Amino acid sequence: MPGSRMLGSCRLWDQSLGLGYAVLLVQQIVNGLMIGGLYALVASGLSLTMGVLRLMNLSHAVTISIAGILGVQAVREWHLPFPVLLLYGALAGGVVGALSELVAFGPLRRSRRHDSESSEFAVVLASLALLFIFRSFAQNYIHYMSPTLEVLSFPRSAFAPHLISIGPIDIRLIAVVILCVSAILTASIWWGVTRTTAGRAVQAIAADHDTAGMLGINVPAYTISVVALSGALAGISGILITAAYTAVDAFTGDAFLLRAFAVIVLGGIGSLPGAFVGGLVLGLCEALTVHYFGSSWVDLVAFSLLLLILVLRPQGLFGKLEVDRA
Amino acid sequence: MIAVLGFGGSLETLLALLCLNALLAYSGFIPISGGSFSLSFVAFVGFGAYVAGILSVDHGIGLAPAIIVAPISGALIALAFAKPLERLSGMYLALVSVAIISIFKVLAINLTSLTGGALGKLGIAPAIGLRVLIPAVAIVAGAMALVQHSALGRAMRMARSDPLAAGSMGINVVRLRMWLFVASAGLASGGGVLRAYYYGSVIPVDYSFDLLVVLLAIVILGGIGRWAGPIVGALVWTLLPEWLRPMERWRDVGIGLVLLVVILALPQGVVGGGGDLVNRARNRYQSRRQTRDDPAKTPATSEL
Repeated sequence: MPGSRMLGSCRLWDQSLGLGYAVLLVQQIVNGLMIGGLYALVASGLSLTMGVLRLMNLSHAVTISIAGILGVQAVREWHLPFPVLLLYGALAGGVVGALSELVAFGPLRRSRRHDSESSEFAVVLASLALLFIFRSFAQNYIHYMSPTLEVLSFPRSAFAPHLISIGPIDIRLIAVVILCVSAILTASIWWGVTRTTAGRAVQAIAADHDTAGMLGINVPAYTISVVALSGALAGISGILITAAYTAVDAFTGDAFLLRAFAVIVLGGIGSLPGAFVGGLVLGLCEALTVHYFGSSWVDLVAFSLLLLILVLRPQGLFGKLEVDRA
Repeated sequence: MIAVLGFGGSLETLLALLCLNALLAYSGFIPISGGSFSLSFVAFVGFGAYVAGILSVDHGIGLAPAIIVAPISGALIALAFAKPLERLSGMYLALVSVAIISIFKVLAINLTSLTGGALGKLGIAPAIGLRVLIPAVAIVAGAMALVQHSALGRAMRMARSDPLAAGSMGINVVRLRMWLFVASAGLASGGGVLRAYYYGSVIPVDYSFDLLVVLLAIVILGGIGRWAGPIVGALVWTLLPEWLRPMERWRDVGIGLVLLVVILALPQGVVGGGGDLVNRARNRYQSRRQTRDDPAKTPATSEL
């Protein structure tokens, strides 16, 4: 078929390329789903604070790195088993999140309550300041642990590179773990936000901060919990990313932050199912782009998808239109 | 003077860095002062730099045509983008801006035949210095000062602090922000040309999220909606790493802490906050003079 070289999707059905090609494609898809699961986790943490508190937290990126670094250290010194390591990462991320809220976001929100002028920019810049501070700590800690490399490798003892073989297809165990953790976490947080009393309180805060306070909701406590939960999600993603890529440095989270932005627009700000599906869609699209066009075009496809969604369905796949638009 | 400021390099380097930072920050200052999160100006800085690089290196065309062509074509491209972006605001617009910056970087790296790929364009000549940069900043700053005290400036202020009220006063906020976006793209492209000529090269990694971070910090440090803001912000941002040099590996912690303190303590930026302090001091001085002139209010201690 002469045209088949032009249209990537035709090649899947081109029998002459043989079974090996199909296996490769399937493995790329599995890989894409794994990365997509990571995007979904990072994006759901970011989307949570954006949806509830209108807080675009750039320091989310470095929280991922910090959890990964602490995770490597925990494995080296205490030989924690992997599930405990995930909890440890969540704890570390949660502490970073709570600290950010206590030191920066909370005071800022209180001091700007009656001054909406510049307050959204101020919050973004505050998170940027935290990014500088936390990243410097991460860099110095890595330097202290590994003075020559500036990067930490994940010990194999913590999560051996197991492969699950289904016929000719090998699937990395970590890919299955990532997808399960990501699905379970986003589903349970979504359930918590929509079905429990605490979740309804959070929704009330998202709808109207001041009125929620007048209705007797302990706004500061819920606010700090939401930011800490977002940090915990970043922490878990940090451990999973470190395990999947077997290394971590102070800039590991950055690429995931930018992708998570695209995922949030795909899914709609504040929508957890949107973040999950958006993450998987982006991961798949990227894997297929690598497969058919080569890795240098990955960013372009991801962000073009984003622009396309904005033109066709600006509220995101699952979003509601009422959030913050002119 | 240079030693007082604590800058390691020459005065000329300091001033040139200051001018470039301020000039590029002004292109971010324009939409932000209109209350719009339109941050894609960084992509237009890169666009202008590439226009300069391609014209100079590949076609031997000099600075003067580039400084005319780049802003006009940048503004036209922005106009084409403005329609789909028009209905977005707030965080969505910020996210899309980041996407546009990322797309620009990927295109710059991958369209090798046009842009020179990851290596970029080298050898843009002749290099420009302060004789071009200072007048450029002065013109832009002067224009901003005029705008700030004009009807347009008041409309921008209104659109920023209360878009709903602005709309009910007959200001078309969406239209206003669209034109601010176009103006910012034009200015950014012009700034990009000057940046390329100052450094003599264009490299794609220079026009990424990191540049956005720097320019955003400068705009907010200086103060949103105050014409001198970007210059003061650029001064602080350019000198801060020099002042914090003794912190060595912990310098970024210092930068972050200074940023955080400025954001928390000076909500209107250094210019706005400084202005507030001056006003407060003047009020206190005047009230003290009034009490001194009025014997009935003289504090008892002064009789001692």
